[in-house]
Amino acid sequence: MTDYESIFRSQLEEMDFSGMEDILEAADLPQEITQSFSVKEIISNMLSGDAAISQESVFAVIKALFFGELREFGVLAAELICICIIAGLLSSFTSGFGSGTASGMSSVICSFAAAGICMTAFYQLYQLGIQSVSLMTTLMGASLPVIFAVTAVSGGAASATVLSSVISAAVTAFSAFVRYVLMPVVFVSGIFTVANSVGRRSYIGKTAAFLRSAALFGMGAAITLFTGLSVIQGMMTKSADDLLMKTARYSLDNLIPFVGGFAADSLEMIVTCIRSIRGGIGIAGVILLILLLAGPLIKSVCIILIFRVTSLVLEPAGSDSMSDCMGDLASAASVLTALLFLSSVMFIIFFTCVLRFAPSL
Amino acid sequence: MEYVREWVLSVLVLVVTAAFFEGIFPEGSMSRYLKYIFSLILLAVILSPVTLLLP
Repeated sequence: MTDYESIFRSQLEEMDFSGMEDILEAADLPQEITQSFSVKEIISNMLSGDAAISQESVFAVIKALFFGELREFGVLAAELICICIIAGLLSSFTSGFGSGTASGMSSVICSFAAAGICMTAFYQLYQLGIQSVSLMTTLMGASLPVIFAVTAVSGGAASATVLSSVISAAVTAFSAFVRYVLMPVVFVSGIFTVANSVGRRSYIGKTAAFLRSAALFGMGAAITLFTGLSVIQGMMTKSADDLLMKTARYSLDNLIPFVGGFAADSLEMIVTCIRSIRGGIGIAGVILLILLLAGPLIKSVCIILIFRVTSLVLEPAGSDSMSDCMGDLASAASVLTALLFLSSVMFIIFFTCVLRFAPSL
Repeated sequence: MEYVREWVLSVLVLVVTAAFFEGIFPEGSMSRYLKYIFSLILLAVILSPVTLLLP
């Protein structure tokens, strides 16, 4: 075993990643993934040049998740289509009921039933989004202290000190903004969309569309703000760490007689190994984020697909208001999914900011 | 947050009530006046948060 490998393995053995691995158990993922996942194994695979995780198992899990969710929500689509066909049938036999009142009431009641089914599915998606962002925030809370500790040990003392407070505050603020402002706004937009479809006339359709646009705009502004903040802070501390490392190496090399050169080279070797571990921890964190995102994302895509297909099917059945409602609800679900996806991208950007600003020797 | 929840509930109840009355009075002279009155009330409710921004 070479010197690098022995230092690498000895440093890796002393680290504890149970905080990061335990978060997977709270996620809605198959057991074969959660039980076989190990941060140390991923980092070791990276060092030896192997793939971090098996590609076959990833494709098998994605396929199982997607078709399972499609089957579950296909029942929902069938219920909606049946209700709308019955509503269309009842409104067609207006003359048989003597007056328009009975027909109008039956249409309203069918619309209430369909609206209830739509809202149940949309509420499930909303809860899923909130839970996923909470889990990703917990993961960041578990992995960032490990990364900052390793950054401090590998010569990035200023970066670890400054960035730990900045990034932690940014993660908390961003997560709170998404969970308590943006996602509820989209949920309200969904409620308005469904309520608007119950009557014949559109009262709050444009209000619902405005709320969706506002949520997307808010997300874009938040990402721009937090990314800029993290990058600027990292750039400021990098130069301080560079100076510190270069000074340490120069001191060892020139001020210690005879063995100074060897000491400086040993320092470089140890710091390089620790930096490799740091990079591995970051990649394991990103893989964990993607795993936490995968299940909810696939479920969201299934729900959006079901809403869109139901909207297409209802149009020829004569129920224009329900068809438009399903189309707008699919748009609201798309915005929720986009918020969830962009939240994970933002957390990956935070990881990148922390890993990118490492001092150079 | 409580204010937002009440606002959303108010809008929801109004829209559902308007849809209910549209079903009871689908055609006729009463339906036009009812729709207009509901529209005005809904407009007032939707714009009520703007009053918070006024000094």
